[in-house]
Amino acid sequence: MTQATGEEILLNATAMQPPEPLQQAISILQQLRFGQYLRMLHRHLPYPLFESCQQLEISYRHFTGQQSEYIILFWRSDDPSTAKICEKIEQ
Amino acid sequence: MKTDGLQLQHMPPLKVPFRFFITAPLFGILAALLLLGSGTDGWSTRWLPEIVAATHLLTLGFMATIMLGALFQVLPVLSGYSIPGQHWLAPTVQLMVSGGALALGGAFISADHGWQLTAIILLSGGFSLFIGALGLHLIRLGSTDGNSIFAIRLAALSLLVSLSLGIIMLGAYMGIQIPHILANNGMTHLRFALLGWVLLLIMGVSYQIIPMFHVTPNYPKNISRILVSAIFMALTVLMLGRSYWLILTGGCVLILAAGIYALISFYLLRQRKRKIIDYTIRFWQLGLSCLLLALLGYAISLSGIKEPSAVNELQWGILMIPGFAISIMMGVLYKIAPFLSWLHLQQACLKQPMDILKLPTMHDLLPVKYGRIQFCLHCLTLALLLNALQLPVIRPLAAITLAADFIWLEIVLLKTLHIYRKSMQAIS
Repeated sequence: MTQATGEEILLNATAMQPPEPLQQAISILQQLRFGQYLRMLHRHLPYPLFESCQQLEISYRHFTGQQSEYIILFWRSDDPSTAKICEKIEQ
Repeated sequence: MKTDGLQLQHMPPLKVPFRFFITAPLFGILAALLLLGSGTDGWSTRWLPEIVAATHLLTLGFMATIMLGALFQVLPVLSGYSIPGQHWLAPTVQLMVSGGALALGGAFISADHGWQLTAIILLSGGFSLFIGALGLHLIRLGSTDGNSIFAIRLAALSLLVSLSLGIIMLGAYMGIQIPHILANNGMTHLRFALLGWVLLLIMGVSYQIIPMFHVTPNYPKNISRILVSAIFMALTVLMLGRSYWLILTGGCVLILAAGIYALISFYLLRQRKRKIIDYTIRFWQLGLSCLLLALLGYAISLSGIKEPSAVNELQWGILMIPGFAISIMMGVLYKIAPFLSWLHLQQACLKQPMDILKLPTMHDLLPVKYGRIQFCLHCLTLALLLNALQLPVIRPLAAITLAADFIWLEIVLLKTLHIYRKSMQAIS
């Protein structure tokens, strides 16, 4: 297990047409390593992606952003250190 | 249909909407063959049996079938309630409406009572089943469920008015004694069908799918609802009003509201974030342009500057039916057919999310070049149809191009379905 560094991967999906955000997010999430988290900027909450997260063993949280309507953070469910980092992020 | 609040667990199987989508173009082909058979001297007025039959094959057989399929897909996902018995309800509604459209076509051509009675039974039965089942969903949804649902409710109400008047008129043609005030409502039937059911439904759907699929700003909330209400109220005033001023006011409100909707839509489409080549956008722009031209024609006739001739009436019908409604429906089909196929494949991958990466892309399911061919064919068809009214010699060519337009659509939809089935087999 690598040490959590809070390395951020950014996916700006605000100008993407469906289903591109879902395809790109899954492609990133299935390669997500310990210490990494995905910050996704989206115009709305991607519910179909949340359904896939359970199977991918990915946790997530979301909040409203300034640059985009929603910011969604994703991290590996078995990575408590990165989870702690993500819980503290507010913008 | 914005993914916010979508309840995908209530998404019906793909065969539910596709059954409607695959059947619909066949009616367009049939309408084209009917026009081809009418020769070069059969397009002089909208009252000719071939024209009335072809019009109803396009409006009921193609347009209503597409709309019913789309609503069977969208309403459960928006409302969060699966339609009880959708596995038998959707094919039954589809069979009854398709059979009814065919019978109505036969009734106009042959003036046969058997066809007329069959059309009345099938169409009233099919639409009653649909309105009964999906009406419950529309009622269950609260008043805060957005402008799309508000527009769809008024569209459904318009369908009810138009359908009832159509059936009453058909009864009168059969010789049933019906009071003149009820039987003589051709214009009200036409207005509630094209400017109520069709326009309001397209408005309701556009409020969701233009921002979602084309990444544009949202329609302004208050104005969207006001426009829909204004159009429905104007239609009601035109139906009930008897004085000149009421008819003038109703007409002006209708033209203004529909015109503002078209201009807002144009503006939003120009504001989209990624200006990629997309023939759905071209279809929207073509359809909205035809709507504006049709409204201009209506405004001229309302102002009294020029009394509409028989040719003008046919031109208005061409602008509103293949021009506005069918252009937009084709464009939307080119977006939702691959999208729904992909979404169903994605749902099938939930247990193995990595499989999503193996799925065909939207462009694999429906290549951009197919859209380009469809758009060119449709533009050519419209140009020929509009000019054929004054140039009888090109009427057969216009009818052949119309048939080609629908044949291509059918081929493309079947290809998409084929790729979907192959991919689904690969997953499972």
